[in-house]
Amino acid sequence: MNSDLQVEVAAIDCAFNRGAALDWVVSGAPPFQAINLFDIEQTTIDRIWDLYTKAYGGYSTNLFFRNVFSYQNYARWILFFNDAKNLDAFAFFKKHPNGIKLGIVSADFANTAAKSAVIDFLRLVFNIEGVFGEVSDRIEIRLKGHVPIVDPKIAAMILIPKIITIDPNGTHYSRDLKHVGIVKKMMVGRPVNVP
Amino acid sequence: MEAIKTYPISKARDKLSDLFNAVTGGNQVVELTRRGIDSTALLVSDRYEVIIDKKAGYEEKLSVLIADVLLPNAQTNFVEAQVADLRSLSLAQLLPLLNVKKLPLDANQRKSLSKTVGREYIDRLEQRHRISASIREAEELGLYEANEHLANKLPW
Repeated sequence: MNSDLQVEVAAIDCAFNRGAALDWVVSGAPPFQAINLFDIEQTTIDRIWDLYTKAYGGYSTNLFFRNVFSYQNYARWILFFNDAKNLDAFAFFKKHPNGIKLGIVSADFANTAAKSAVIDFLRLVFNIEGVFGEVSDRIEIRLKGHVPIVDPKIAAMILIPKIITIDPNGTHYSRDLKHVGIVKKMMVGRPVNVP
Repeated sequence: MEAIKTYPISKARDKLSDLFNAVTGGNQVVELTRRGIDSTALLVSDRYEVIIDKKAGYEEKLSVLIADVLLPNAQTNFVEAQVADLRSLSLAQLLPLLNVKKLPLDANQRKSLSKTVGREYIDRLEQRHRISASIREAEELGLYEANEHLANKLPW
């Protein structure tokens, strides 16, 4: 009912069981709960906005999302809660013809457990069929050796109509991002529906 | 459905993939012209089917028309959901919605329409408008890709 207004939200602990299956990220099964964006508790929305603005505040405010409604484009939200049940990190994913693609992530960067929760989650979830994302910089370094790399030729097909230039190293590619410029990325994970 | 964008067919050939995405994902209409005289249009297939379906009643065609007018820049999923909402209304309930020139509604119009079609219905309409406008703006400004890239630079 009115699924266009809903996002699927999963609340998990920062100390989540690293050995447990994470297939639910792809299937949308519990702990995901579908909820109208306007029905999410205001304290949760405020905390997400707080984690976002504090983390991204060092960059141009021209690149800030104008409001939380833009987040509805990310259909699956993973919210990480600490032992005191406070929201300390989040990872948003979007639905994509090739699976579930990583969107934006953030955390309380003063909190090592929150950062570790996100990185450990990504290290695990990118090994699940149907989950993929484009990484670079610090996240790429933290994931190195833990997640499969997608052949850039496959990445090129997944990213159509975006144009990429494949790097001679065979793992990376360059893309021109609006307001950011040319960036070097690597696609990781296990996208589906690829040739 | 967004205002029609016009392309000479010579230019459209090189942008066909982008135009296809704009039509299917962005619920836009693209007019293709040849020598500035002849023209044809690309539009999402379900819109086309409603237009040519001689059996479809006024309510059906009106629902599609009103959804496109109320949510002119919305993504297809929002428009489709709005069409589904509109289909549940009677002709008498649909007609006042033709007077809506822009969203969000002013207080008087909201009150009046809430009486006609129900408050929850109007809430959903305005929520769709707010979300779809916000997504469209972020897409046009390139904010999704920019923020997704910047996430990698945070102090993980």
